[in-house]
Amino acid sequence: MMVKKELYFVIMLRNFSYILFLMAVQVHADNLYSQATISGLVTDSNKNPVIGANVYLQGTYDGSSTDVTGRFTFSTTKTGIVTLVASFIGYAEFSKEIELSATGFDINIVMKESINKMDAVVITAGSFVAADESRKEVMRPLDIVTTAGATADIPGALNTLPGTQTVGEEGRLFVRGGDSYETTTYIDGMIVLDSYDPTVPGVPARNRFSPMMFKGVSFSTGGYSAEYGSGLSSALILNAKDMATLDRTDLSLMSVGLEAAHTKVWNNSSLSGKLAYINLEPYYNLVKQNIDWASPSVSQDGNIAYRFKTSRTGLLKIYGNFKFSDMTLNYVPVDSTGNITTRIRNQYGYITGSYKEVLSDSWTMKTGISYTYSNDDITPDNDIINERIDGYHVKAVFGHDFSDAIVLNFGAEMIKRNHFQDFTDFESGYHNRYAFSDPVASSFAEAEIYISEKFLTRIGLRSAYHHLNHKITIDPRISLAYQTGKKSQVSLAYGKFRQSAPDGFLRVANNLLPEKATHYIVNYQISDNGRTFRAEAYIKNYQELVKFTNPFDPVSYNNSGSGLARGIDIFWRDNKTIRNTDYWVSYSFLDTKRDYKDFPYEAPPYFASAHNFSVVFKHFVSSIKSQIGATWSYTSGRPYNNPNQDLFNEGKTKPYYDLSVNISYLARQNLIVYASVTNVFGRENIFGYEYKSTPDNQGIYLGRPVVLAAPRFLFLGIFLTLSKDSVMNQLPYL
Amino acid sequence: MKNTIKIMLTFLILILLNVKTYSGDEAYREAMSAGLRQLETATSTDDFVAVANRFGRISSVETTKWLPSYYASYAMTVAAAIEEDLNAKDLKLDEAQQYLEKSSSVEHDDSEILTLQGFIYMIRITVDPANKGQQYGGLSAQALQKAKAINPDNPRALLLLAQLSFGTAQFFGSEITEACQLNDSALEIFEANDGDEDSFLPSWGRKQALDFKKRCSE
Repeated sequence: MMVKKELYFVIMLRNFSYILFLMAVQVHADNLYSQATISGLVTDSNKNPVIGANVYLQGTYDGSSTDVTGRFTFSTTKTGIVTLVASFIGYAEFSKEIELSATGFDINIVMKESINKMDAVVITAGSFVAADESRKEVMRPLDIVTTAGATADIPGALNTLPGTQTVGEEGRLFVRGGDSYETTTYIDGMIVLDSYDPTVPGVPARNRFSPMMFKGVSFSTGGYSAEYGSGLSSALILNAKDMATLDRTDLSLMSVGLEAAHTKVWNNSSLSGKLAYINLEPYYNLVKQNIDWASPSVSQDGNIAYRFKTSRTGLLKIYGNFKFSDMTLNYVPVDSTGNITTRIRNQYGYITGSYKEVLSDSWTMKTGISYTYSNDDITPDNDIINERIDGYHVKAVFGHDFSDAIVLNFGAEMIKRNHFQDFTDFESGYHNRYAFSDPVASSFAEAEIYISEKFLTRIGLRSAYHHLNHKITIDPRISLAYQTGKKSQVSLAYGKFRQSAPDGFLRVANNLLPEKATHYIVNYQISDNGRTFRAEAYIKNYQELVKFTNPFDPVSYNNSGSGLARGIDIFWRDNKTIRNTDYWVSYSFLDTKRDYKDFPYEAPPYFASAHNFSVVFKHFVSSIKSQIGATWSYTSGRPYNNPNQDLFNEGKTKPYYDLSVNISYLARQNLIVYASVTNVFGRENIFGYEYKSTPDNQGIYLGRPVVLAAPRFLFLGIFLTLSKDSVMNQLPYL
Repeated sequence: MKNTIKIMLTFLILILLNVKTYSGDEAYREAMSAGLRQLETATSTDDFVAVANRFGRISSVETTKWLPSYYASYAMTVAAAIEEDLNAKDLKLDEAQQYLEKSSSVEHDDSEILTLQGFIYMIRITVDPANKGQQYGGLSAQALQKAKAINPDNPRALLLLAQLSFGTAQFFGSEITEACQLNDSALEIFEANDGDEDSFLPSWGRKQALDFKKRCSE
């Protein structure tokens, strides 16, 4: 009985366990195999499929990726209310609560592109940006270094872009019929006074700052943001590199001097220093110059850059530059018969600090301060001219995102420039001082509004108080950009721009008002995978330009000058069609006249050329590990004033041609040899003529051509990089 | 009957426990295995994106584990490496970087994370070699050297270092022996470790090292 009972029990147990087993299976199956299918289609707002989006139920592993048609399908054991999520980089995450039934679920998902991201429209009117960060920009900082003819000079390279007029004897930037003083340079948003090295007639000036310092160069030929004032025509906005990532030492041996730089990186900070010694004497001894140098230019140059990451998002940047240069030449002014020995010494210092921080999800802050000091001692024939400009700039800018589509920037700044010129006559002891102190306080507000991903407007207002003449100015700036296709867009810009009268005039007549320009720009740009075409037309109206009859008489000065510049700029760049080759072509048409300075009436100024054309070509030859480059430039005849002619500025020079070439050879992974020569064919370009102020006894004004001290400039350099990581000191990067 | 009830209850508890364990660790293991199997058979960009998405889904649930987002990052990097559209390549690397940061925010293996970081930087070079080469080449070398310093026997760090120096040596026409020796030592480590498949720890790279060896002997 006992046995029987046990047996019964075992059988029962077996049955029971079988039932339990079935139950278990059932339980598992409930969890595993009773599945609902979720399927659907993911598209963007233009109804294009989004491929590779991740679609899943929140808090589960259940999900799938969309296929090439944008479709997805997956099954889940979940039931009831669940959250369906779709995510794809560059798009706002989609999520929706859905109720699952046994039959499954089908859904069409439209993902919105995140605004301000990759494909959103940007304002291109008037702006050329060279940046490492964004994929959209037409230029890279490295493009500047490797442009033949520029010899690593920022304005030199920008002169190959449309909207600039080549003025070869000066080497400065002349933008859209504007004088060289109409372009203002900013580093990390802070103004730079006197951004060119001192030079002498016949030797083009170079910018003080090396392009390799910057991660981004934004060159605006008009219509720029209300954040920037004090530039009638153009803003050159340079953004210094962020924290360095590698310890390294760089040594350069050049035909014009030596350079040594070292960078040290810590966890949250980096420090770089560079010293340069430039002496042109050996070069001038070798290559004959049209200048009688008593002592050619010698300069010592020091740079220091410190970066400190104050937090995950905060960055403090400090940059300082000092430079001493000294040169003496024997020069015959056009009105004189004898040599005048002139020594030119310049001491320059620039320091800027800027601090950026993200205050919250929607607030950002940028603040900065800069100080410039530039002192010239010029001694023509023992007379003494002492000229100094110094000034500071303080600025704070706040940014607020009201939403993805509306961003407001506003800020205030103060720029104070002090300038004097002391003249002492050696023989008579006569002394004269011209001076001014020009504080300008400004504030601005600017809203960027995305009406849609395709349509952006930027509306800004800038107001300034010019303390020198107690004038308050209010300038509106408006830009629009509309995407006409996936790769093409149209931009419009309008704005009023103001700049204090040029130093040389303001120091004589302190009551001069700021000069004024109004820009109207229309731009079309299309770019597709390495090819960019852009065309821009503009009108620029000048008002309140400085006029005078006698430069030394303050009473003869007023602001009654005016002018007009209009033109068309065309740009084409292609680094795709020909393998290992990058080239760009620029053409600028300019029609301009102005009545300013001592012009008797409206006339084209000496720097205005109607046609500027340039082709920049760069080709990498793997077999010799070298990049070769060539730049060809053409500038049509420029006006000059010939007092023997009836009309003012009626003379016209012959066109200017230049073919410059360069080569960079990667000798080893950390050693680059660079050589360049401008004006290979040695063409004797004439930039204008200067005439004596009094006629000879036959009533003829004698003149002479304005030419360069030497038709060509040759440069040779060896650049060595040393760093700890032996695997790769320097990848092929040229 | 008391006994029967007891047994029934025990079974019930066991079943429930069973279900519980399944939806916990077992589900994770199964999802990881399935993901790794899918990774092994992936060939196209879309395949690798799908694998990355799968690991991404796992990582959104398993927020305390580093491996799901590690593999999401790895698969996205491989997807970027074979992607031809430069814009899309860069975007994929952005996403790979995001996954990597997620992975390194929880307890992880430093050497493996740094190796993958070096890999991401290496692919960044290919987006724009002329402009990005110097920066990302340096960053990549730096990350890989660190990875090697932490774990000298990490074959993936050695393999990528070998590839990096091979590319440089080839460009400059200098000796490739150093690069090939580095790869050989990576291969030795791969051969010595059969790999513990249950741990899901990174084990990729053996096939790449073998392919690389062929190029060395060419």
